[in-house]
Amino acid sequence: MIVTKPNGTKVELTVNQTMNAGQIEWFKAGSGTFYFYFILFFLCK
Amino acid sequence: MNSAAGPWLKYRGHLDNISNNLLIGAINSENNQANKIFNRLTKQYGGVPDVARDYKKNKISWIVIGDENYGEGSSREHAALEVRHLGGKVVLVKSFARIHETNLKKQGVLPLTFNDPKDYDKIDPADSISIVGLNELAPGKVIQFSLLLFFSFFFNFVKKFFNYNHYHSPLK
Repeated sequence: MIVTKPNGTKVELTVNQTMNAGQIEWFKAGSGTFYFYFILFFLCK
Repeated sequence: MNSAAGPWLKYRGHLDNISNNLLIGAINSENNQANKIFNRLTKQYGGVPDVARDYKKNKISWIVIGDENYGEGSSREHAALEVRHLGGKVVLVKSFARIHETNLKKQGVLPLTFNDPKDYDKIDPADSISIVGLNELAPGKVIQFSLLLFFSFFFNFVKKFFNYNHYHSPLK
């Protein structure tokens, strides 16, 4: 993660996430409704 | 109106109305006041839901920077839904209350914690935040440059403490 100060200075920070593989798929799809269409897209492919 | 719900009674019904309760009891670290944050578009202070709506209207994503035990007392799904509804993409805190963190995941908001809690003090309300590299998101992976969804964003962000009861703190 990059934090940009008003004077243009950049600070790099490390952050943690706790999602499992299924939750990451869900997140990448954009949560519920989008996940449904995401699955539907691959089923219809 | 007399009700057991008191001043919170008006935050009911549909999501857009409920979202008028977004973080309104959180204390802004910039001025130690609740529901008063700087709108970087209008250069004026406004309520949290109002500023969030203005950012959303102008297609500016924002994130919440929070302290320890963020979301304690906000186990209702709407607490996470409000963030999503008003354009919040990420909640970055020192630590989460468990149920609220899960609800954020359900609603498609990315919950993150500082690898080093002291980094909290390196972020100020006037800063912009860029998160790149989320395509490489993997279970348990520490993110150094993470990418949000499919493109990178610059976030205006709202820095606030959240060690209070979101839905039941007294209104000013």
